Amino acid sequence: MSHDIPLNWFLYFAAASFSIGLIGVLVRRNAIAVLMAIEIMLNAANINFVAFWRYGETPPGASPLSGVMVAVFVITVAAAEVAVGIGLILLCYRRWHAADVDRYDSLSG
Amino acid sequence: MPPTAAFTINFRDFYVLAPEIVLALWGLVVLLYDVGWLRKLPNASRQQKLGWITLLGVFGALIAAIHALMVRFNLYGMQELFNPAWMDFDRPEPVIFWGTLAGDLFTETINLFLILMLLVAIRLSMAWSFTDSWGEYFALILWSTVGMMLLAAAEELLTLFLTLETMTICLYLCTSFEKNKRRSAEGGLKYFVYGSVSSALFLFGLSLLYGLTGTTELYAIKMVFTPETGDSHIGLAGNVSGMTALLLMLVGFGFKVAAVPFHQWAPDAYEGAPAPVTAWIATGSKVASFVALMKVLLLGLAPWSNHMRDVATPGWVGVVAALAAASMTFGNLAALAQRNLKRMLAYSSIAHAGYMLVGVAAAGYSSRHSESAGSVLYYLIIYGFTNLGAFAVAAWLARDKDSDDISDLNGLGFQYPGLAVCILLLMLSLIGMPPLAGFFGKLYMFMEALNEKNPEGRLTMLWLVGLGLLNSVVSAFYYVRVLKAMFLRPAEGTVVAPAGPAIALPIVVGTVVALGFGIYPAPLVDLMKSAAVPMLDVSGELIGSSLERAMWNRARRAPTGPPTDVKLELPASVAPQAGSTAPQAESTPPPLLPGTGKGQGAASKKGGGMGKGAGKGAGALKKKGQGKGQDASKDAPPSDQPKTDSPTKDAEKTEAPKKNESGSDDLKKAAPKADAAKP
Amino acid sequence: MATLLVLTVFLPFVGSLVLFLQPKLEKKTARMTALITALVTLAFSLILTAVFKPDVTTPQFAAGAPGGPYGWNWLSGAKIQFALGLDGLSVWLFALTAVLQITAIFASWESITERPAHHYAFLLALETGLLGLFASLDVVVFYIFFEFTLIPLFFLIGIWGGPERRKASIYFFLYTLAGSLLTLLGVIALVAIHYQHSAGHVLTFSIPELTHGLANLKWPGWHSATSLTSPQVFIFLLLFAGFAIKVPMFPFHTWLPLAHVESPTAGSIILAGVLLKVGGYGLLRFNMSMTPLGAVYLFQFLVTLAVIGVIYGALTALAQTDVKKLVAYSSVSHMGFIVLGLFAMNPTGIDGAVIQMVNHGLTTGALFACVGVLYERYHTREMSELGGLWNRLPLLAFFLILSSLGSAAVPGLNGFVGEFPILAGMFAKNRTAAVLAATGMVLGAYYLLWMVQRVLFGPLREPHQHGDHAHAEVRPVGWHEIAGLTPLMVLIVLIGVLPAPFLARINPVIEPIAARLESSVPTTGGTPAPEVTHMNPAPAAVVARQGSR
Repeated sequence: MSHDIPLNWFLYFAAASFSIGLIGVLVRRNAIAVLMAIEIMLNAANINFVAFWRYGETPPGASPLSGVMVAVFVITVAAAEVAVGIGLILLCYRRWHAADVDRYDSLSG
Repeated sequence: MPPTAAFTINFRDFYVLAPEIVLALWGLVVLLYDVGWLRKLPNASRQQKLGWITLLGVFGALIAAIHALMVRFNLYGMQELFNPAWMDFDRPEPVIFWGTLAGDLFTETINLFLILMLLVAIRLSMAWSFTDSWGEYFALILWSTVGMMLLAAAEELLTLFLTLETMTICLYLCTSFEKNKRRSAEGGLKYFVYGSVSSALFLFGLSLLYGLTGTTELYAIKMVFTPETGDSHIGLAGNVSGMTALLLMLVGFGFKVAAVPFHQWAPDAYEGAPAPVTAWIATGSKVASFVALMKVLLLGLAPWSNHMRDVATPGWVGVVAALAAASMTFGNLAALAQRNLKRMLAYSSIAHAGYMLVGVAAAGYSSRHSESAGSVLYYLIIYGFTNLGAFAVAAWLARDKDSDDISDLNGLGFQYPGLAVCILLLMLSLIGMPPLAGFFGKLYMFMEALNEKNPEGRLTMLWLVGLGLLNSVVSAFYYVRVLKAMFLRPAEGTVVAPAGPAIALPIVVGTVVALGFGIYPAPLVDLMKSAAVPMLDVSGELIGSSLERAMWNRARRAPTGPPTDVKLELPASVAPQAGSTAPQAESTPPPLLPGTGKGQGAASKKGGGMGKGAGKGAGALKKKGQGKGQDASKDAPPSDQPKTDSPTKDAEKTEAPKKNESGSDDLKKAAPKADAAKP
Repeated sequence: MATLLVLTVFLPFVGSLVLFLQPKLEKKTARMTALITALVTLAFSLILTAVFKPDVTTPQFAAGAPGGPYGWNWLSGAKIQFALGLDGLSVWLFALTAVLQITAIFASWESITERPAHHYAFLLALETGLLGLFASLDVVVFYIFFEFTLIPLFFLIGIWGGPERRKASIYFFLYTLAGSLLTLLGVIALVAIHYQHSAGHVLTFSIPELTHGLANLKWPGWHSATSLTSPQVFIFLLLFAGFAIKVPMFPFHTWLPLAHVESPTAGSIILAGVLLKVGGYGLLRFNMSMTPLGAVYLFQFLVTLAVIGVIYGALTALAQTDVKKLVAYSSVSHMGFIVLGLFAMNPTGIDGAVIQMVNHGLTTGALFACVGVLYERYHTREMSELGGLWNRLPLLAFFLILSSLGSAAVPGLNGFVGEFPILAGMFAKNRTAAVLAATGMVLGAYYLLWMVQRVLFGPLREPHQHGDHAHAEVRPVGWHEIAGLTPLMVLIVLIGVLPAPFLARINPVIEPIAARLESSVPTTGGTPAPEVTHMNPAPAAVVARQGSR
């Protein structure tokens, strides 16, 4: 393991991309960009999972594969989320003819 | 538990999941039936036909759920009747599918109530035709329910995340089903954006938790975090990574249960969604999310509750208490300003989430865990049924007046006195007026909150409960507005048509629940209290085979350091050497089992590897993570164990160099901080 | 007898349900149904009063063994019992409720024409709430009835009230609810403290058990009151919040005039006659019995509030031109008297306060009924528009004079029996307060007689309404009005001349409470706070005294 990349590099990377995603969600006004930012956040978590799985060990009795399993499932979930998200964005786009989340303003209060 | 448990799937596992399986398959049936046979029918009759077919499946699931409870309580000799050789009911195993899901009294109870609520919600969906994709609509509602039921049953974080997503993704879609309304699409999109961001935050918190513990199982997480020194609950002081994980998970859950300050989606989604979907989001998904929240906090993260100290010290109790106070106050004040019935109910449901968070904080705090948790569950169920009724009123207005202003209710009391009295009772129950069920919900929860032995904690809880009661007064202002409109104002404008069975059913069911469990709450209270026991303890305790349990016990029992100094504790693997010097570790530990020390390196590496400073929490991890300069995937030969650990604070430092290459640097950095953090 | 008590409490509710389910009932049928229900309830409660044993301090007519756990298990897990019973504190208020109900029904006999079935249904439901409240022996049951009374009155005011009825009903509802939730918090805190600190961790909601248990709590912190955050003082204030609003004590009285003015006559009668007594009853039952040290610690504060209430109520009443408002403010003043009597903390004062609660119910109920009679005929309550009615309505004049005199505490009538002991008790405790309160009494006599003089004597003045409609055909006082007011008049005189049997039933229960209070009170007057701290052993002595009884 001595020549591997240390764990904390992965963690820094994951934290950084998570922050990028979060900032993207908060800052970007385009619905598609927001969707992409969410994907970045999910993938950041995936990096964490895989890195922890690779470097870490499980306590006795626990499943040794849970880290990768989570990552695999999260990829699936992310795909489902994108599908639903795109659908919803299209629905809104058809009504407002805009993909700008600030334009959607029928609800407030 | 693949490594040790046998790789067999008991048929019982499927049997326990029967209600979920029925609902999931029935969703497909509904979809196929719609596509195959009903395409040519006009919209309204398709809706009715599909609705009844859906109800048929829900009845099937209801029978399965009731059957499970009957078997559990052995009513009518059910256990003998339904015990063929291949269905081994006597097996005292409350978890199924290798510990990923629970199958105990708790899940059976929650399933029953969720299915009953689903029944009402689906009947409510048949009230009027707000979309034309009925097959998809009913299928999605059914699948979201499957997500809720599995979420309530999840014993493991991956399952929890997946089911949470199943539930919410279905609900995002349902929200935007009202095709002819702009606000429906907008509500759906807002719900989606907030919901998926919260899922991502939750997932990131989860990944940190996985990193800190090396496992995703709630009970195993609890075990890893439980300090071995008995009652000294260290909380999270100085443990930055733990605190980050906790906060991220709380943010995620805060979104799901719509707690302030993560509530912004709720009013928009509630107002935008068609009223039956709103009802289902506000009740079903909130019930399931709260159950999951309680499981994670009260089971997995129980050691972090820091319940022996004041709420203000680090630990989730303080955070939850703050969330509760904010949710109650903000939800009620914001609801005061609303003229729209659905928005008002949305804010009021935020406030109710706040009340329930008081109960959760109390449950984390009190020594009567299961009673406190049971009181929250009771409140949840009552809240669910009464709110279904309240949203049915909104559905009534949406159907007949195409608006949901409170003023549209004017004069309802004179036109339909029967239903108006039912609505009156629902509102009074939501305020918490005796002798309705809402009152007992609050009474039990707040009673338990004040049943705290520690006087400082009691004072804090007293303030919180006082705030809750004051908020009930504030809530009376806007609920009374509904009553005022119904009874004290004459009708004006168009007249509402008779409710019809679809809308009357939720109102009447809600009233019956509010009145019935108000006048005689004992059965439900007792059921919920006994259901809370497996939710919090037993299912975890019995996870996996007895072998694993024995391993846990050995691993935990062997090292015992001085109670104040967590880091001194030595792992099982080094206890023989340490025993000679450490006075507390005299007892000879059992022989090292393969794999016992294994998982613990991971924890320590992460504790340091996070690079985020490690305080006591990290120390607690290190004691388990007896360093082995080892690649994680390989077992450590026993000879690698450090031999010179002394029972002083130096243990940390002497240990550190022996850690593996990847983690040692960070550990070295972390160690002084950890020492400094110690009193 | 336990069954009879439960029957008495729930009989009006049954009548109420019957009326509710038949909303189309004619006025005549509805009022007869209500009257018969109320009469049977009255008969039952009179039977209970008649067989009530004077010298017993434990609750009577309760299910279960005397002294033991009362009532039926309702929520076994939480140890909440459905426990009803009467003792000296509650028996007269219980009977008063049943009596005033008759007056209330007769008062709305002709005046309620809109949806009469619902009106009587709400009146009867209110009666159940009040009867149950006075009879309950379990804090949760008490609280349930306490809150339950809000709902019928909310609708009574909100549907059948005056022009500003909506505002009045919501004001009343929210104001009272706000206070009562603080009371609930206090009650929960009491139960929790009892659970944690009593020997053997007894979880009980029973009022007698809590009263006894809290006095013997093995927690030193409980038996000292040194600051506002001492447990007894703090909980006293929580409990006080709800009851003070109900009484209403001085700064919390603002809901009362509005509610009274807008309420229909029947609502006013019950509100002033019985509902306000709930506050005094609660203060005595909870505040004085369970957290006596709080009362002792806050003595100056409470007495000041009460005296301000007495004088402020009287002065405001003087300034009124509306007869109903005048009576409403006189209630504020008289209820201040009652609170003053309670906080005299000696048997004389508390005795007077308890009997005065009944008296005030009778006289104010009668006054409101008289105002209702006036209003029904002239559709005004302005004193400037009325005068010289002595000739027009002689019977009304008699009722009005007698109840005013009773209210003004003329010797020989019931008010004197209550107010004199209150003043005497307070005089022994704090002379200044007693003297100030006495001026309130004088003012009370003044404004009541002034009102009587303006309305009944002098030249005939009648409002000119409906054009030049002559008032020659003003309806004389009808049989139902006579039937509603006569029992009150009889009781006003009866208690005035023969108070002994009434006091005999109250006394035995008062003495232990007063003894506990006195044992922790410094006898010198002055500021009680410093002395309280070294009175810690006192409760033990009190317990011994209680045990010997």
